[in-house]
Amino acid sequence: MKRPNILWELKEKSQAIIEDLGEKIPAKFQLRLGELGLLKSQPITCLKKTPFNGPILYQVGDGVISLAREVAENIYITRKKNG
Amino acid sequence: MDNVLLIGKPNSGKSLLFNQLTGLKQKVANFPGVTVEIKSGSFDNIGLIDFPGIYSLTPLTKDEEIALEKFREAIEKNDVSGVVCILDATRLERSLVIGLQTLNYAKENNVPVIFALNMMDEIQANKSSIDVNSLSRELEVEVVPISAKKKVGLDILKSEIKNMLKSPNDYLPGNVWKGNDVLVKSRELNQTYGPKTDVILKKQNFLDKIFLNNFWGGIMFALIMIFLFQAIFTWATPLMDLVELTLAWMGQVTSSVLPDGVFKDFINEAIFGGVGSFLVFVPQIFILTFIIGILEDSGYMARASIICHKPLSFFGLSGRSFIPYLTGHACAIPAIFAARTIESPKKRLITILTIPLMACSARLPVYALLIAVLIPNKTFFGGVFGYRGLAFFLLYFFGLAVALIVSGLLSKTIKSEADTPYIVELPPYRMPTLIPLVRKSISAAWAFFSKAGPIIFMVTLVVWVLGYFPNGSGNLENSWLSHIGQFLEPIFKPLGLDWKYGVAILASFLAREVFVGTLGTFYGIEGADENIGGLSESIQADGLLPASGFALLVFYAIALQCVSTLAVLKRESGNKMFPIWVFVGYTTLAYVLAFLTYNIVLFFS
Ligand SMILES: Nc1nc2c(ncn2[C@@H]2O[C@H](COP(=O)(O)OP(=O)(O)OP(=O)(O)O)[C@@H](O)[C@H]2O)c(=O)[nH]1
Ligand SMILES: [Mg+2]
Repeated sequence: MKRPNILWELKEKSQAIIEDLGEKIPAKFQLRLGELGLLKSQPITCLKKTPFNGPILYQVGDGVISLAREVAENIYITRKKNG
Repeated sequence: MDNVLLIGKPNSGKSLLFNQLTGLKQKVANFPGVTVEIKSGSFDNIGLIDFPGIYSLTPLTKDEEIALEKFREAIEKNDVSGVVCILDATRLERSLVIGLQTLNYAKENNVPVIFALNMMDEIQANKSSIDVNSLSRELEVEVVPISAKKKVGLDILKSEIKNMLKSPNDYLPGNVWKGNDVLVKSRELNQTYGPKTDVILKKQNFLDKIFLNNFWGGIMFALIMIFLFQAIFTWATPLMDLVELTLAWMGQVTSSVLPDGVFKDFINEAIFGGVGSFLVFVPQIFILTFIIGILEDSGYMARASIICHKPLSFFGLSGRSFIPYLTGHACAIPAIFAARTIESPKKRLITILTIPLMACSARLPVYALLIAVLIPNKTFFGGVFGYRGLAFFLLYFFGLAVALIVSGLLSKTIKSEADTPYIVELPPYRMPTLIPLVRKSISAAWAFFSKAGPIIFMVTLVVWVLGYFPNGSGNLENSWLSHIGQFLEPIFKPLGLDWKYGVAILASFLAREVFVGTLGTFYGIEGADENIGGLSESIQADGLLPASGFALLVFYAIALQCVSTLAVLKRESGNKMFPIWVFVGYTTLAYVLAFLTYNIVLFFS
C-alpha cells in the first residue's frame, strides 16, 4: 500500500489539497485548525521551512500559520501535479 | 451606563481602537495574544470593554478561556447593550470566523452587533479594496470601515454605536451561520468581497524569506539579541552619566545652602547617596523597553518565537515561551500574565515558574553596579563591543541558562496529559511608530521609579538612621546597624562578605534595587564629604574581593527577591504552595552557587 502524503513533507513553494486530519490530533485542535483555515479538500501552500527544523509556515485561506512537526506530520494531503 | 464589548480575532486592533476611543493606554503590540485581561473604559458616557483576542467561541488557551467566560457571563446576564466585533481587513477570512460565530450567539441572546472593519489604511496602501456595501448587505450587519491607527472612520463608528444603543432592534443579527458553515461562508465571503490575498501577503512572505532563512535567520536572531543586551549597557551610559552628574551637582548645591548638621548629612547621604544611586538606572529601563517595543511592533517577536521553538522544546518548553521570557527581562509580572497564551498547561506552568530567573530590570542596578566595580571599562573590536556590555550579556545568558536547566528538570517531573501542539498565526510586518514607542518607554521608566522608589526611600531611611547614630558621619563601624549586622556575618562570611553586604542583601529581599540604595547610604555615611566619585569607586576603594563580587552577581541572578512576583505566581499557578517552594528553592540554589563561585574564583586568583 502506498504511504499517505503528509503535510510536513510538502516542499517549499508547492501546493497541495488537504485530505484529512489524523486521529493523533485531539478533537479540540482539529476544531481550531479548521477555524484557522485548515479545511478538508481545501488548498494549502508550504511557504517556508524555518531554522533548526522548526515549525513550518503554511498559507491557508488568507492567513499564514506555522505548524510544529507534531501537527504537520498528522495532516494528510494530496499533492498537486504542478506544485 | 450602557456597556459595549469589543471583541474579535487576536491582533485585529481592538486595544488600539479602545485606546483611541477611551483615551486609556492598553498595551498594543504586533503579535497575537497581547491583551490577556479584560479592561474597561468609557467614552461619551458609554462603557467600552476590551477583550483578549479570540479565534473562536471554543477556547484553546487560558487567555481565550478567561475572555470567553467573561463574554458569555456578560451576555447571558444581560449586562451588555451591544457588541462591536473588530475585523482585520487584511485577514478577513480569519476575522469572519469569529465574527459569524458572534452573530449567531448574539442573535440567540438578542444582543445587537456592529462590525468594525479595521486596518483599511493597509488595504489602501496595497492598492486593494473591499466591497464593504455588498459584504454588509449579505451579512445583514452594519459594517463600518475604519483605521484605528490613522483615526479614520472613528466618528462614524461612534455615531453607529450610539444609534445601536438607541434602537437596538435595528442592529440585531439577521442572517446567521452555524458550525462548519461558518468556516465555509467565511472563505466564500473573503473570496467574493475581500482583498487579494497574494497582494496583501507579498511583503510579509518576502521578509519571512530573509528573517526565517535557514542559515541567516538563526544568525540574525543571535545578533539582534546580542545587540539588545549590549545596547542596554552601551547606549544607556551617556544618559546615566548625565543623571549622575545632575545628581552630583544638585547634591553640591543643596549642601552649600544647608547648615551643617544631621539634616544636611541626611540629605547628602540618604537622599543623594541612597535614593540617588538608584535613579541612575532609569535610562537603562527606558532603552530596554524601547528596543523590546521595536521587536514587538515590527512583528519580529512571532518569528523569533518560531526560531526558538525547537531549541526551547528540547528543555520542555515551546516557542510560545519566548515572548514571556523576553518580556520577563523588563519585569516578571507582566511576563507571567503573558504566559496565558501558552496553549499547553504544563508548558505554561514551567514557563511561569522559571520566568523569575530572567534578568529583570530590578536586577539591572545591582548588575550595573557590580560590573562597574569588577570589570574594566575597555572596548574591543574597534570600540564596537565593551567588556562591560559583554559581562552584562553573559549575566543575561546565565539567568536564561539556569531557567532552561530548571525547565528541563521540571518537565521531567511534572506529569501531564497528552501535550498540546504549537500552532501560531503570523502577524504582518509593520513599521514601528516612534512616538507611541517613546511614550511606552517613558511610562515603563516611570513605573520602575515610582514602584520601587517608595520602598527604597523607606529602607534607606531606616538604614541611614541605624547607620548614622549614635556617632554621626564617618563612624559606620560603631553604629547601631553595625552591631545588628554582626549577627549576619556568619551567613555571609562563606562568601567573603562583611556585615554591610549582609544588611544590603537582607534588605533587598523587599526589592532587589534596595541593595544599591543601601550600599549608597553606607558609603555616604562612611565617606562623609568625599563621596562625589560615585558608588562603584567607593566600593572599589573599600576593597571588595573579586571572588565575592562574582558570588554576589550569581546570588542576585538566581534569588527570587520580589514579593509581587510571588503573589502573582500564586494567583497564576492556582497553587498556594508554589510560591513558597519557588522562593525557598531559588534562594537555596542562589546561595549554593554563590558559595561555589566564590571558592572557584578564589582558587584561580
Ligand atoms: N496599519 C494599521 N495598523 C493597526 C491598525 N489598528 C491596529 N494596528 C496595529 O495592529 C497591531 C495589533 O493591535 P492591537 O490593538 O494590539 O490588537 P488587539 O486586537 O488588541 O490584539 P490582542 O490583544 O492580541 O487580541 C498593532 O501593531 C497595531 O499598531 C490600523 O488601523 N492600521
Ligand atoms: Mg489587545
